[in-house]
Amino acid sequence: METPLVRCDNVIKIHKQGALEAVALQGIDLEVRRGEFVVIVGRSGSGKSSLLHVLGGMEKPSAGRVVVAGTDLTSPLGTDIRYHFRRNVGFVWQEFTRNLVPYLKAVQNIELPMLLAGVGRERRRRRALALLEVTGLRNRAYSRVNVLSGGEQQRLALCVALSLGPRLLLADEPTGELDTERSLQVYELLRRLCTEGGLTVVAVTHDVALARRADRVFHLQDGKFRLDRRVRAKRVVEIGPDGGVTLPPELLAEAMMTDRANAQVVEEGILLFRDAGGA
Amino acid sequence: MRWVTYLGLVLRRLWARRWMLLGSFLGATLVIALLAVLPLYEASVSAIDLLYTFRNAPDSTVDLSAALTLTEYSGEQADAGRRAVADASTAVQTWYPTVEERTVSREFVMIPLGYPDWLETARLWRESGALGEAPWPTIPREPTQTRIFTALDIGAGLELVAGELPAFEDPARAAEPILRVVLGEQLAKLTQLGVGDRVVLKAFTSQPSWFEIVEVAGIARPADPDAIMWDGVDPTVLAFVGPETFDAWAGTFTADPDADPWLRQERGFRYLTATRTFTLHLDREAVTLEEVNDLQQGVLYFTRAVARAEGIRTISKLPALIEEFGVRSVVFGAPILAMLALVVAGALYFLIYMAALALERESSELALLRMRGASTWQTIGIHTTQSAVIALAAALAAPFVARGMVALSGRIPPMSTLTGGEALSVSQARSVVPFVLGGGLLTFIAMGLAIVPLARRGVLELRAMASRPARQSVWQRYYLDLFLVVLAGVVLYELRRQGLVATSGEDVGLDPFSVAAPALFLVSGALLLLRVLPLLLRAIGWVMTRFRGMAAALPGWHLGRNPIPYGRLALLVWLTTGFGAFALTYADTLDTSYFDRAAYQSGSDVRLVAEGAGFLGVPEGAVGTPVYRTLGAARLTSRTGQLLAVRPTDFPQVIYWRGDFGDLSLLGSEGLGDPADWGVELPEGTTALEVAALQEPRTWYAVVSGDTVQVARLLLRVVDEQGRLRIYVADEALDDQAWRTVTFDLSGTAARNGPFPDDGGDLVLQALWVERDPTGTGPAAPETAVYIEDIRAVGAAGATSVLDGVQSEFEGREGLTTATAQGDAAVNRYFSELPPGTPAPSAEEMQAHPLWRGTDLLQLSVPGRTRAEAVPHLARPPEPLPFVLDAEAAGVSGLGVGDRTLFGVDGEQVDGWVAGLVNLVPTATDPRLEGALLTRLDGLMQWIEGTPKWSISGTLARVTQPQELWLRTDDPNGAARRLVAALEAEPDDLLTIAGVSADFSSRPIQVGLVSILFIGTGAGVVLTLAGVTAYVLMAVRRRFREMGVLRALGLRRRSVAATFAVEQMVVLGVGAVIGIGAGLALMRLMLPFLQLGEGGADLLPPALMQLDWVRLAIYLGVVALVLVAAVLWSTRNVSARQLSEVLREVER
Repeated sequence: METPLVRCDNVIKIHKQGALEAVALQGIDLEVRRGEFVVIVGRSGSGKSSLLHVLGGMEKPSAGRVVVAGTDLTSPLGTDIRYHFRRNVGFVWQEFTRNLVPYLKAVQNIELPMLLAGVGRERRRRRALALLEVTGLRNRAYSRVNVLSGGEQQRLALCVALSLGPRLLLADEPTGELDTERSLQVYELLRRLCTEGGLTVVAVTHDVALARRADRVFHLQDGKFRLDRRVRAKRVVEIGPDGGVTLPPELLAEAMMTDRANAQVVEEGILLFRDAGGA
Repeated sequence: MRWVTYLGLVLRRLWARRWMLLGSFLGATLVIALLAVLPLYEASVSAIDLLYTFRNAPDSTVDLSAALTLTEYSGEQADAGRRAVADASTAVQTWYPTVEERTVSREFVMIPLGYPDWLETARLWRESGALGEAPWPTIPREPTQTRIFTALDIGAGLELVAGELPAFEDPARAAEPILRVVLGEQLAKLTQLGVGDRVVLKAFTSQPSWFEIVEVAGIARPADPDAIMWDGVDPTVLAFVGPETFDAWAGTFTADPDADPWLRQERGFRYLTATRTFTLHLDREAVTLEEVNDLQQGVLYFTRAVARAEGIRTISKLPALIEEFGVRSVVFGAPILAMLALVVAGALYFLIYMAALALERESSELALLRMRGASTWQTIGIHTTQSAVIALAAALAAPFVARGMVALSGRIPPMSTLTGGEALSVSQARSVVPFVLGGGLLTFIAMGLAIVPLARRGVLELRAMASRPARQSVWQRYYLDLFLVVLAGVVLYELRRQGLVATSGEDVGLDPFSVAAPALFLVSGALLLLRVLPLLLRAIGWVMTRFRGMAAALPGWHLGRNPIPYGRLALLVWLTTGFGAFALTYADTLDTSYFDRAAYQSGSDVRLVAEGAGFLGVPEGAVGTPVYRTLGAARLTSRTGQLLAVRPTDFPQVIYWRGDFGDLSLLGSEGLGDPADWGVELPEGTTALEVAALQEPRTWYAVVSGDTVQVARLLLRVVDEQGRLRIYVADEALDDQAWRTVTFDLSGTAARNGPFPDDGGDLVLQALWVERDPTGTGPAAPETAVYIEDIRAVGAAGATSVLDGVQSEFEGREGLTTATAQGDAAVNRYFSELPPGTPAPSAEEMQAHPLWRGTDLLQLSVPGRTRAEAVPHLARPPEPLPFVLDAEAAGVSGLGVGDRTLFGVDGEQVDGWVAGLVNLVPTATDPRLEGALLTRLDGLMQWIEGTPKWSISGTLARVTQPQELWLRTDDPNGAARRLVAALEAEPDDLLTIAGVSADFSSRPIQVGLVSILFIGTGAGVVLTLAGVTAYVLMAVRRRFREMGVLRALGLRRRSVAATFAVEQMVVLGVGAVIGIGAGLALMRLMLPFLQLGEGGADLLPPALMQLDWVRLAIYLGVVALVLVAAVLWSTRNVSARQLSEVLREVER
């Protein structure tokens, strides 16, 4: 069986502020496979960002185990966080200014992580231009950040995040400051990177449209996943004229449903779940 | 290659943050420049001070002279000395272009030819048997002394009165060699020698056989008595010859024995001791500021080079002058360096402050870098490279800034008064290199160190820094502030122990540790106060929230919620205001101290010292008082102090006095009492006194026997309203055979110790003396008596008897007794011894006799006395005198208030008591004297002038006049001019407070000290302006979200700006107020260590802390204006933005 790229076992994160303690994550278990596009949704304060910070190695969990691309971020021996930043993860944040160095040109921004990692000049430039090509920003390579549009800046941020070829891209509201059209461009790009480039993406968002494009959506509430919903976008079931629904057998097997299921009307439609008696 | 990229990244960062980093650059430049200013300014001010010292010192001090003393003089040896001096003088030739040379012998005795045998003459006189007829053998012309003087240009130095300066004539070749000399004018008078006269000269130091008969060839006086040639000698009593003549006669030569009365074959002055002096006169105009140090070195070289030559010693006060200058440099250099250290500390704090602000601004970028994989070292590397670039740029710019600052200080007051508005010449440029390097390193560390804790922080922490206010400072977190306070305490202890200037033995040195003391005190105090600030701001915030208006309440909430971040801003402001308050107070204290010292030396607005100055008319519009200054000792000890006899009625109005000197009223009537009304007041308009008197008559028998009588003469002692003592002699002596009315003309010009102007006002008769007529010679005066019938004051209104006044006021002194005699006393005496065979006269005959008087007489019984005894007289006995002692005099004498003792004044024993004690007495500045005593002028005069010591040979009595006149006036210069004009002679001294004060305060090094205070204050204001602007801009940026919310809630743009401005103003106001308090406290703390005068001695009077509230208020006003402008300018962002723009910011 393939080793998951991201693995969280019972991760707990408690924030301390003076005498106050706030539990951000309460026993999170999560596995993300290579090439997956995972979206985490939830209300403000539900722990989304904390989870992203933990995965990015920016915060250590209070308890539990986190392994990202083979790097144990909770190892008692300590973690080479610099290596983690350089090799494992790339970050894209909501605010443009957090992603880009304003006084550098687009290509220089992409080159910066490579420069810090000691990549040679030629290679840096080649890789930067290639990324710009992929993101459709080739013609903006030598523009300053402040003359780029919001969508361009966010795509550029993606280039920066991908410059060292990370295995995991962590995105915190990557389309938060973009209009719908620009957001779609970014989504498509992320999707393409996952399916074609084998990149794993974990994104935090409020954007339903983004969530719909994800392989899996995790709903975080009070530091716990409310439900792990795997959406196969192409698995559409037919509703018969009598209201009967025929579900594909592999789906039922995956959901461990056999002969009976409970149905409940929820905000987004009808939710089917295993019958406790029948399981 | 990667380094180039890194550097490119750093340069891009620098450019992007240029405005913020400009503050760091300016701060760094200022710190390095100020460090570079330390040596430059100190050296430049010292150089100008040295120049000033050179230019103002007397010739005798700055001239160089070398003396070659030869006990057996020879021209060759003297010429060798000349060559040695010429060689050594090349080092100083620029400033000492000419060498003046002169040769002076040791003393010669001048023995007149035909010098008589006195004893033989006396014997002949005695034996002549006609003692009464033969003239008493007068003293012959005495042998006298002289020295032979020569110089290369002796002819030009003399102005011949008679005769000529003889040309050189080789004595060895002359048939009858004779030394021909020119005598000084005074010497010729003393010896009564004229041109052509001959006299024997014999050197004291030579053998008896080495003498010569010399001939007077001329008589001369110096062409210019002030010429350097005559330095240290009196040219009027010398004998002059040409240099070749001197050399020829100062050795021996062979001569024809027949031409010499003593048949000597060898002639000349063998074993003559003579000194050849080479004087190098300083050309003051050639001394320039740039070359002062070279001159100093040159002089040292000259001194050492000359010292190596055999027998030559240098006589120069220049080393002492340089040493004195060195002491002054240390004494005044210490505060200058301390002030500069204070400024550097402030600028360094500004630099750290700006670096911290810049880093806060960069924290989000640091987070980004960290997130992109930058290691700790890479983060540190980028920042330190940036700091290094800034430090390097600053280090390159700083020397020029420092030179500019130092040069500029010459153009601005008070230094411009010395430089004439020219830029101050900057010297010793090379010495700045280590300071610049040190400063560069210091600024690099100050800026670079801040990154170290940040570089290790996590991404989230760095992000939080960008949006959340700073926490407790490092100082407080690690109790570094308390450590600094402890360190300041140790320094304070050290300062108390040794003072700002360390003195060990005679050396005065600078303790670098103590130089940093003011900076340490101010910074440690400020850091300590930083702990209290949050509480204070919380309290202020709480009070502000009580107000209704949002402009007060909102800032109040903010201040109260989290006051810690304001600490840095408050610290900057209070360091600035603290230094400003300290500097202003110090400058005021210095100014006042200069004035106080000047006033202490001068005593009053004008003090004239000259013979008779005390009696000069006081110029219109001024108040004047005479002062008699002499030496006095309490308890008749050898501990002599300065005694001032003053007039209590007006002395307190005139004297400069300071509260800490003591109770001024003690110097007035309250302490010294009112002038005693002693003596007999003569009616107004009295022009003469007539005394009808008779000397005790010889008996009839004595008269017919031919007995002579030593006649007596009356003298009066009178004072006028000015206190001027006048002594009058009766127009004729008393007779013993007839009553005689003798008259005293009381016009001032008739006074025997006069003349006096007749504007003295009413006169008071203070004593009446009975003096024996000097024509009656003899070893002693036998006893006698004088009968006085009446004493009348004669004026325009007629004659008024003052006899009753005399009888009641006076009593006999020096053995003289008074009694009332009957009118027939003289007649009875006359007829008490009749010629043999003469019948006794009848009562009628006696009454008809001219000696008979019908009224009672005042009989004065005059005792017999020797010449050494005082003259008997009538006067009021002097009363015990009140004395006021200063603390030192009281200390050495052990006297307290009310103690009665004898005081020694001018050789008299004065009975007195201590009426009061004061701490200090102005003008008592002579360090050799122990303390000061004050007493009443009139009373002291009664004690020390009242006793005529010697009248028979002419001297009547001591006539002591107050030799000083003290004035209080609004026009000191005008009054001084009028006084000098009235004096008709050069005064011994003339002091005005303004003059002495100008002399003090114009000392370059003192001016330099004041200048640096102003420079520091100005720099502080500029730094605060920059710091506050940067801070507020940062704060505005950080809290833009909050402002957007307020705007969205409906607050108007101006209200939001006002809210923000009020908040900053409160912090700045608190900072400013605390800063001023801290500055004043620092001044109070440092004052005891600043009590050093020029020579390193304690200041007299001690400097008192002065606070000019007006200047302080102006300074505070300027700072407030600057701060308000900075805050308003910085918050204009808030009020300028549209709501939509702000809301967009909020959404981010």
